[in-house]
Amino acid sequence: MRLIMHNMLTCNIKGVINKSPLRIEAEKVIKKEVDFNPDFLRHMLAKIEWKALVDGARSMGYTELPVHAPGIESDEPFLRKFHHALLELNLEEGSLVCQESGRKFPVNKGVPNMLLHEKEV
Amino acid sequence: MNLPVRKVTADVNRSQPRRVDVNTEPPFLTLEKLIPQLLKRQSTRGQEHERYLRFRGQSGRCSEYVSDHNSSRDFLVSVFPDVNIKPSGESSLAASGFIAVGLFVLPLRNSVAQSCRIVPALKTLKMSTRPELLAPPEIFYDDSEARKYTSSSRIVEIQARLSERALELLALPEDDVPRFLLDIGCGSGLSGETISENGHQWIGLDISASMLNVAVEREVEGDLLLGDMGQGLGLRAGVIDGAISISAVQWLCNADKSSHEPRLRLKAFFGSLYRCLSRGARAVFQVYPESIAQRELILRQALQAGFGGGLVVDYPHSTKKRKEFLVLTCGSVPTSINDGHKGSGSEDDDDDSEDEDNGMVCVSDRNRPRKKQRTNKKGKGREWVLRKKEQSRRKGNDVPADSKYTARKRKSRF
Repeated sequence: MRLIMHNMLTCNIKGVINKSPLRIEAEKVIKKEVDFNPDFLRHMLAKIEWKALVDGARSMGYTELPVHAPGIESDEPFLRKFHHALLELNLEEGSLVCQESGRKFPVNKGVPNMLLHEKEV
Repeated sequence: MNLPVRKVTADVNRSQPRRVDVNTEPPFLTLEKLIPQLLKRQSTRGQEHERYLRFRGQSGRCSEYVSDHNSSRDFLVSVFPDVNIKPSGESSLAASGFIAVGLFVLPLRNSVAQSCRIVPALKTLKMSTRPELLAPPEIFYDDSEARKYTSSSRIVEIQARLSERALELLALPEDDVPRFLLDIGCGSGLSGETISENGHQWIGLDISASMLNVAVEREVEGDLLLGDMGQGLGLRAGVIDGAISISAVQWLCNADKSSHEPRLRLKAFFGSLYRCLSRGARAVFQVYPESIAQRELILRQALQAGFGGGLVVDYPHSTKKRKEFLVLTCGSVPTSINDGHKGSGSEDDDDDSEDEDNGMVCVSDRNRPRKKQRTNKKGKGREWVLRKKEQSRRKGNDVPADSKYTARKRKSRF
């Protein structure tokens, strides 16, 4: 699971208000190389929740992201870091924790299990 | 018709089936009898084991089905492989050759072997060729089926073609900027690979862990998610640039658990999809709807969620090649939707014509002529018959005399 997906995930349990982001508890993280595409990164910059990305990257072991996203000018070194955090860090084993309800969604082989029980729907 | 139902025992602790007493009352098992005994949830060690009662579409009683649709292929087959199901002579059901009993699948999470044994038996006994009537998707697509599905070159080719067409219909702006797409019911990643080939990033959602395992093995480039689309997608608002789904949405129309209500699940799905799509984004679903009713159900829920759009049908006149794509738009109405590929008699011509989309949804069902089409009798009236008889008489044949009964309109049976 990469941070690009983690940034979009919310906790779907009925009654939970603070759905996003989910806290990452990482047990195994691997890095996979992905082609660098600045257009795509600029396109995604508007959609990403920056604080969640920084926290997520930190819990996966990558601390070099700036705390605040740059406004208009996004230069190459920043984009490189952004690219690495967003697309190249893979969480293989671990879990995602909902901040409000404490529910854990396990991650196995890089696939988070977001299936809800009957009562949670 | 007394059905010798074998008592299946199902005990979650020992991974053995537990004894279930089922009252059978001729001529058929009714759901009301089955439901109290079967639909109990057991929680052991924090894990939920559920018995699923499978029934078709909206809540329909099995007994009503039997009496109203004598020759319908909606009947479900018992899961017990040992049961001798013999058609009884008396009931009119036998005339159609179908037998109706209640169907229940016992998927215990620990005893996958149980469900593995049952589903292949189901498949040999199956009366219907639609997979969603056999078992819930997470059970139908077990490890062996997942492997079969992905290694079949025919399926791979079909999925690739459907995905290409769906991507076309998404009408993403052609500015070479990769987009962030959602693949609903991604399965083993066949459609996702097509998305990656077109340069986009994607998230795939599927309910079957076996299928996702195959996708992981094939090292697909998108992120995978194990989830139930009927529970809502669980994505933030306005983040997805487009969604495709190849042969997945029809699974939503069947209730796989007692707590499922297809309409609510469709509502949750379309509502969450509408939220997570960005403005102007589209969702394209390739569906195989079972009937007009099912197609309308899907459409109605989509419209209620706020989508606009319509149905695109490729090769509407060909039975084999006909494919339906439900194109839903979010927000602004597009200026055009590509018309479905039309076959011109020999079904090989691609004739794309641009059509103005006026935001209305129209559902058209192809007029399928009956295989044994009755010839039109308009051309041969009484006059013609009399003339022919006279001709025959002139030839010297032995022709019955003309009377008031000659060329009289007979019952349609003849």
